[in-house]
Amino acid sequence: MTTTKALEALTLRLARRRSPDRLWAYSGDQVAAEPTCFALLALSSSLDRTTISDYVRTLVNYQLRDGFWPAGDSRSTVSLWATAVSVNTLIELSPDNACVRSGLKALLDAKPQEAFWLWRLKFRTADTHVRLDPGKYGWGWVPGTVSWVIPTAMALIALERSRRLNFVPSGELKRRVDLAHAMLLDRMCPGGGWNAGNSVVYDVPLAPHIDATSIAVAGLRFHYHLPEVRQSLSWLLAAQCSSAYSLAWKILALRGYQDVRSDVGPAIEHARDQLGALVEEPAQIADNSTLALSILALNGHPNPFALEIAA
Amino acid sequence: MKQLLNRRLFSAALLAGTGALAVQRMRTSGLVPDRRKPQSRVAILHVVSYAASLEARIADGLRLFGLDLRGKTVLLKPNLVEYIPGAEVNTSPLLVGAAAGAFLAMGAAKVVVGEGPGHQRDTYLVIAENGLEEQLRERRLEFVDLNRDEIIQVPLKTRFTGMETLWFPRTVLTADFIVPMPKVKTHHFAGVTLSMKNMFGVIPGAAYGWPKKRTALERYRSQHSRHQRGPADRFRHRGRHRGHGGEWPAAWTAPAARAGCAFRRSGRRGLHLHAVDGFESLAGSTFGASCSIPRKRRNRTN
Repeated sequence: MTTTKALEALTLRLARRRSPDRLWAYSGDQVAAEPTCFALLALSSSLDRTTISDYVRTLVNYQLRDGFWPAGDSRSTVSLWATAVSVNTLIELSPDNACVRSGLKALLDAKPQEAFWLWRLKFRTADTHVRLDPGKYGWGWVPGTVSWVIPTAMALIALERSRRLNFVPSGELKRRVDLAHAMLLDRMCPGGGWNAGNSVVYDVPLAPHIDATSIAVAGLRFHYHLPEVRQSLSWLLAAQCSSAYSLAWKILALRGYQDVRSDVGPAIEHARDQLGALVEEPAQIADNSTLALSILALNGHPNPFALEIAA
Repeated sequence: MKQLLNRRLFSAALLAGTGALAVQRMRTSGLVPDRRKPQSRVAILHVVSYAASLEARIADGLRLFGLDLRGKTVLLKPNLVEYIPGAEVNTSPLLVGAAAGAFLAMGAAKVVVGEGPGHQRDTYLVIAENGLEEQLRERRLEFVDLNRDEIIQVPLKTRFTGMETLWFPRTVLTADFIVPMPKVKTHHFAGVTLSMKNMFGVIPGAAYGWPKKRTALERYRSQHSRHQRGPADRFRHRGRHRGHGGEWPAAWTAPAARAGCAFRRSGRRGLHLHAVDGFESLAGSTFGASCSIPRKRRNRTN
């Protein structure tokens, strides 16, 4: 079991890795939205409200006028993944911020290519090597692309959390969330779990990835009654992992299911022990996103990716 | 009702089509001169296994080209997709380690291994399960996750991709000598994948996603297939993309190759040498295609 002292050391290490711009990079000094958001979530319990507000203000400054966040600085490419991660972080740290609403609106307005009938027609008639239902879609990594599992699942988490807080009470939100649920279930690999985007290509079944499966399972928490979600959770429980990044996501996802399956608790404890050993290797936590996720997975604080928001 | 196709339009279309076919025929028959540069020098080195003698064998091959690597930083770019037990889809870690040793023996100041897998976000998991992490540790080599490296915006010299700029990892742009190390594989659409497709891995996922679709298909705004396939791929045009020497038609591996071509067109440091891992190859890819694969290792230069 990771000791409090070890967790403190990891937290201190993450705090020290802040770039001169007061935010976080994957590594080095170039600020990026993903490591910044995960770092803020990981450090939030050890920071006072004023400091958190300062960080939130800096994060908000990176938001573009159309509500999206870029992957890196303002010149960088617009990223739906970064937008979903940023919105979810703000929901956790500063839910009353007006940028949450503009970010949510940007996510709702961002439609993938399958949203257009011509693309759906193409997938149904000419491009049939990939087994998917193009009528079920979510979000791509960047605007104007097709849906992928990880950005869809993270957008789903952000939207579900915002729905429960009644930020954007609209029919469009419900429609997009329902579509995203359907898309994830449609793209599930045979036997459970998720690959990057597809389940079967050229009649060959693809193998699931632990990180993609974890984020998808976290986003589908309210659909545990469905056999697809149960099957994927079983796959995730059995998946062995030698990487801190995937293991941290696995723990965070499993934490949302502790109340529905008795074998989840022991699996989390086992995974935590494994993760505690892995983070002692510097190469495993060279990336700040991984370090931050590891802290979130190892500490007992409320899970910022859980759909059941703590009161 | 308005007539959609009149006689004049039909004749013009017929003439244009016949002309295009005639030009294509003349090109393939040699009547139209090929203005491409002569082919690159190629060395094919025979080995019997990924064994301890590999490093010396590679060093022998490198010496054939008279490279001056003294004091230079060499970036090795292996092809790491994901770990699939029993499937040879990644460049052998033993080959990467041996190449690093050979380059250091030739006077390189530093050898860095860099890769940005296209579909798998967990780069560490790929290098750990593939066995590359062990090689890196044993040989004390630095590894850079090109998906998450610092990025620099580079204006492109041409607009074939429909993009004016591309973001590239700093490690790639600052290396003195870049060595793509593709794994020879059959490809469901291209037939075979080699260096240009391997260079797709230098496109940073942090900017373009996993997979890096925008860069691959921006020109056609089609990002429709999960396997880097666009309308242009239907044409195996032996085009003007000479990013890797010209023996293999670069556009075979389009549009993934377009990213590599774009890198070339960015006017930055070129791809200096390609070490192709073809010893144990994947004949009959996981996506159902098949073609004969050379069971040899090729080293080639531009």
